[in-house]
Amino acid sequence: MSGILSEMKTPVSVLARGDLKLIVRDSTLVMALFGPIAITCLIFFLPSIEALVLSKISFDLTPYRSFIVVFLSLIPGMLFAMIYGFIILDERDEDVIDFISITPLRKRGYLTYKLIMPMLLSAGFFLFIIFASSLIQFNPVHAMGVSIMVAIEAAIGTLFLVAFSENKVEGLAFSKVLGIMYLAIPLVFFWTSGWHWLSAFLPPFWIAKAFVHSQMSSAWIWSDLFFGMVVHIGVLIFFLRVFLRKR
Amino acid sequence: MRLLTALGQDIRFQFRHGFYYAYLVLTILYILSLRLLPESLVYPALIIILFTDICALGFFFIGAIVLLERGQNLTQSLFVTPLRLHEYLLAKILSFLLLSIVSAFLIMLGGSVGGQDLLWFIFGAIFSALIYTLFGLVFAARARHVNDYFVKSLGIGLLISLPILAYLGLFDTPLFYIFPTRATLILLDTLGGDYALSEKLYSVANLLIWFTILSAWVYQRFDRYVRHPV
Repeated sequence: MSGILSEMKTPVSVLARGDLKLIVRDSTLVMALFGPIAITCLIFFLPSIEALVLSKISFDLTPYRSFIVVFLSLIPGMLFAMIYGFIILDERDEDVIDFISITPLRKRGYLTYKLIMPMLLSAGFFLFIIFASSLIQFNPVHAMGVSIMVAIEAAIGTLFLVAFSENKVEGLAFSKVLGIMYLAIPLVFFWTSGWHWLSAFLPPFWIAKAFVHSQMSSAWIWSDLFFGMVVHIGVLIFFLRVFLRKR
Repeated sequence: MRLLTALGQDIRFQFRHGFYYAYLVLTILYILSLRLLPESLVYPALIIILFTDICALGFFFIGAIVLLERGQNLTQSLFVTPLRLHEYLLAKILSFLLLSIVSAFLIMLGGSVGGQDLLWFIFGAIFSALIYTLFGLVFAARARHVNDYFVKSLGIGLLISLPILAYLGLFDTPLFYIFPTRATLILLDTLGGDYALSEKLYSVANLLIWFTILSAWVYQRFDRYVRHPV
């Protein structure tokens, strides 16, 4: 009995094995990790870069350190969102999704699987960057909350690329627009006017807010985490609906 | 005439796929950022915007376009028609040049940035846009999917951008003078900085040489992998 059970393959395990084969056979996806790893290295060398900039062009970067760390720690998430977005777009252009949608996994299962990977990877990189570099002090409880938002944000990025574009070329144009979302971070850090709240509908706004309040040990962090989660989940559900409605 | 038709078709394709809308949004944001920056930072910011995005946009997009055309077997049918390979390639790079020039012009107009020596600057901007798209075409000829294109082109993209370190005053080496990007940055910077005539002439020669080498390379690769695929 147990033999039969172990021989039965769940759709997800088949899909995961397929992806693994793809990764091993095709070094591209292994090399795609290069971007996020390069960003991580950049953060680890940030103190040396700050010293270099100070000595060469006498510009002190240290007051901007928390901004730089927040900004860079979100870039791997954006890159993973793009990598998986383009995998989905490529597979859609080649009609792979149509074939999968008639298997027991269905379109929903396929999408869930393709979204969970960038979510796990981006949250993992985020926590690693924050705690392994220890360039800024960040309350671990707050960091866990923020890492959930980072994970959802990666799914949002992937869905944004695939929900609105017809093919990979349009996906590329949308990936340019996706970058604009991260404009909310400098706005939170540097725009002292109350007008910066105009960007509160952009998910990274709440991550930046949470960072700022956590650094100040302000109780507002809890409202940032709450509203941030609401905004992230709201945007996610909206994009998910758009994608699923698409044929 | 065939070239004009191909060019019109490429521009229409880019328009339909939202490139012009995406760059309209980005152009507006760049103009706003330039207007908000302190006076002393406007020139360097403009040059970095032009260098990293506006002039380089062909590099970013060309991979997916060629992949889509190859995926739909468009290129095979295209080369049965009288359209020559060089016309096909020229239409690609000129259509991106148009998008680059229109956004660069709007950004400079909106940010009210101008300067002396505009002729050198315009030459630099035009040739860097052409060279970036050619670099992209080198990799697009053989890429299997979008991520493949990005991974292959990203390393070279980062490598040829190294002279930005010299522009920022962080690190310099005479080796950078081989890079096309060194020449680009000098010509773009003539807008605000003073350069000796010899440096400007070197930059023009550098870009012309790179343009010739890359054109020949792209032609050869497309002839081999796209026009006559095995």
